[in-house]
Amino acid sequence: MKLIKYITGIALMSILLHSCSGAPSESIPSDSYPDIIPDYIGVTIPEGIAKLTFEMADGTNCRYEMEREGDTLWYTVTSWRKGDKKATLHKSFPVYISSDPIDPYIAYRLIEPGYESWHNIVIAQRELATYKESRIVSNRANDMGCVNCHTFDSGNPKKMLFHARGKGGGTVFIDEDQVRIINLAQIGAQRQGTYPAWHPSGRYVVFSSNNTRQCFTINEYQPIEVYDTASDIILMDLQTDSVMLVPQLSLETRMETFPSWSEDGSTLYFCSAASVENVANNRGQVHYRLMSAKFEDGQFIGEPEELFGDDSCSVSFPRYNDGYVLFTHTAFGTFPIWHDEADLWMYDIETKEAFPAEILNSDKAESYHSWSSNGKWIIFGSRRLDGRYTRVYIAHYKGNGEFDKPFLLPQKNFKHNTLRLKSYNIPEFIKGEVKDYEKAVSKLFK
Amino acid sequence: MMKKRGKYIIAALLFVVVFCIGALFQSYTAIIQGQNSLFLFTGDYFRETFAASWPLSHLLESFFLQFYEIPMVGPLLTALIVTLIFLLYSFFSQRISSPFPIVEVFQIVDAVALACFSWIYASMAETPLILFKILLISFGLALVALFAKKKEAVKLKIWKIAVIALFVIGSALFISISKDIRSVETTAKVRYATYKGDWNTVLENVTPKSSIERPDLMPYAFLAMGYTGELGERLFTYPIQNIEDFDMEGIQSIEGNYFNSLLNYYMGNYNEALHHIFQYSCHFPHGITHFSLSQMIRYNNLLGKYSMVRKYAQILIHSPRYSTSASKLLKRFEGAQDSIPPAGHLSSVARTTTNNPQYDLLQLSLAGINSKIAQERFLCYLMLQGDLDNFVEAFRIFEWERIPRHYEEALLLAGVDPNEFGISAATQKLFYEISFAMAQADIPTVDRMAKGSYWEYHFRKQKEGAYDSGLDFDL
Repeated sequence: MKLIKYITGIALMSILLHSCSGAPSESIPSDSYPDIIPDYIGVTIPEGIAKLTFEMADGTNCRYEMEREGDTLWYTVTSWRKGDKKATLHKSFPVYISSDPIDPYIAYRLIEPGYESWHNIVIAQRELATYKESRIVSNRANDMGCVNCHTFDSGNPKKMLFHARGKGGGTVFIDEDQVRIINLAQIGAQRQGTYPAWHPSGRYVVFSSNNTRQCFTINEYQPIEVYDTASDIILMDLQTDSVMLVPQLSLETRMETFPSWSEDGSTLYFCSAASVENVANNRGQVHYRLMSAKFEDGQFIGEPEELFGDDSCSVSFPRYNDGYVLFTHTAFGTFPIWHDEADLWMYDIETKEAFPAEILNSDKAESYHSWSSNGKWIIFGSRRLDGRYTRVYIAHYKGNGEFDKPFLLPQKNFKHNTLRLKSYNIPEFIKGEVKDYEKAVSKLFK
Repeated sequence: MMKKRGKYIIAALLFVVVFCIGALFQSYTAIIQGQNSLFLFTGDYFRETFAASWPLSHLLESFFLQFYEIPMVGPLLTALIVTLIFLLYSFFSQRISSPFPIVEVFQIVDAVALACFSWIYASMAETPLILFKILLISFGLALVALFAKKKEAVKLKIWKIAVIALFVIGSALFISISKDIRSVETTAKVRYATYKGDWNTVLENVTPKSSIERPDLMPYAFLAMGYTGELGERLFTYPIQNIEDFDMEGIQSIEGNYFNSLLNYYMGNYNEALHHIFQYSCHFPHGITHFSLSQMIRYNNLLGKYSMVRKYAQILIHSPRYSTSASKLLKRFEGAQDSIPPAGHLSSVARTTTNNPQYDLLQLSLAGINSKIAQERFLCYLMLQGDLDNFVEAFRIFEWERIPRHYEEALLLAGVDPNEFGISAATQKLFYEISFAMAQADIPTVDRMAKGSYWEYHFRKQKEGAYDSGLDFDL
């Protein structure tokens, strides 16, 4: 035992020495913050999140010391180049700790940011307090078909659904140990489900049913445009397993998509655009509006109301919280992740005004987002790191439509973000750990 | 001593034979296998590898396979592994006693047989994975045998030497004359030459004669001729039967994506080249390969997306094979700023491509990409469709120093004034002679004179009633 301790001690010492080797003994103080990647300067994090790791953006060596003062962590970074006689001691930067709790897990899909095909797709989960990532289900379970659109019933890790495409495919519903697959296209409205939204009561799920296509631009900065040629909203009653087309949300002349419920389930928010002929060539004319529809006793009541939008923008992924709807704002179209101009905006239900959530946005795409179960945090996908591979950011909600500076989901080593050849897709908060359903789902496809 | 030496002589011979046969008949196959491999020292890579079956063999295979991309290293490593299988298994069979005496009789022969069958199987498979599976099993058996007491080595009898020779020569012959293996090698050679832009090799290997048996390789020849400027001169000397023989548009196979990626690269349509290389990657176990990573670096560089160049270079640094070159590349692109569109620019104004080659080529031209290959391919599509009115229109747009033969043939069919277009006297003469023969219903003469010309293709399509446009040329 002593010997093991001795060897471990020697190993740790050598690692420590190695990490500091070449560090000059003297340093010159600097008035500026260190240029670190990811930018964690002044971000707000939840208590207990995994340690933030970063490096100097210009690749120089660095080490840091961290000190906690109340609800603020102060990071003091020293950086130096190989061969420097003196290091630079940068101005200490703060990281604020919020007392608002956050859900312990997040779920996302890992997929290549590619085109029509894919290879490995995994719906994974990540414990926020650690770097532990584990599988919920992968497309090995359905013979390398697509798995997508995972959704939880109000963040409940025991109740979820996702689509598993391919031969024998359909929508997989998980309720604790009960795993079943239903091909929505074979019942009721005979439409395939795409974007789902689980009603807070847990009884209903609305899906948009989209006919999605792609076109490819010639040497344009944005390489792909993904668009719908048609889309409608369907409602599923999980008590009877029946599916019906919602007539007022399935107009022939319009495309309805991205359904999302209010907290109490009395309102469905969604997006709707006028149908356009030859969408690929006229994609600049496709402008989705933010809409709402009233829902009561399992039925939609009255005509939908247009809340926001005009012919200069397009709305995607409306998500309600605290009197506001957070949505993705683009110049046109329905697939923001390929749009560099895509930003997160807030719509104030009371004042009927929409405004950009500036602090969340970058010059690259911000896209899918969702609220934590207590409405105090948001998680969203952004391509700000390299323009192609979506990474997950988390931001604290201050209230009154305002956010604190977001932070990149911490990894054990920042380089993981560079080395991972997958995008993080549909990040969602979950209230606990989800079981590995790989085997159970595989059985559905045998 | 002699008995021991016999085993090593067999091993040396086996090594030499496997290497020579590999170098002669499978060297390009090995290069392509190397291109399609992936080995990275990254967490995700190991996680994905261990999530699949036979992870150790996959790991071993990927590690070795990455070096196959270097010419002649593939055959060398294959020879080494086959020899190792032989040595490890013979070590096992010499130490472990079998309850069946017949097994003892075939000692050494069984190891040669195992090595030869593994070699043949690996040569016929898409990747040499089986070799690594057998190698691991043999290694395991040899480990077990370490604990067994060594038996007395069996003397190599004449019949054994004859059987071993039969196995080795038989395997070598099988691989060298196998039609499938040769076909795969030709494809690999043509693919590699296209990647390298070695058009002479492409055209030497895809000839009008060879295309009768391998029409699937014709698109490579047409791409090469587009580059060398011979498309309008030689297209119809190939046995092209349909417009589908011209390219691989819309073909979502490994071959189709490989070809389309290179075609679009050579035409200057780098977004489409990237699109196809992504699609290509999806056919492989990790959804990416060394080749696709290096091509993505190439295309992103041309598009001015240096962030992506750096990302892929940083990934390749974790590959033992590409680490050094990736480090150099990273240094070269350090701090390079992405070429981004001006503020307010919207991609909705950009021209797009679909899976309609003719439309796509037109869009390419409208997008301002003045690719000679694209222009000539566009003319060829119009000819192949029998759309001669539009052919004439398009032909007028481009400038010609000398009109290629097939274009002259198409122009004459379209009924243009030969002098206005400067059509050569020889082609005019031939055209009138064929017209005369047709008027006389002298079909054998027409067939003979039109052979290898656009007219031959055109008359056949007319006869088949296959043109959509329903063109009617009353000669």
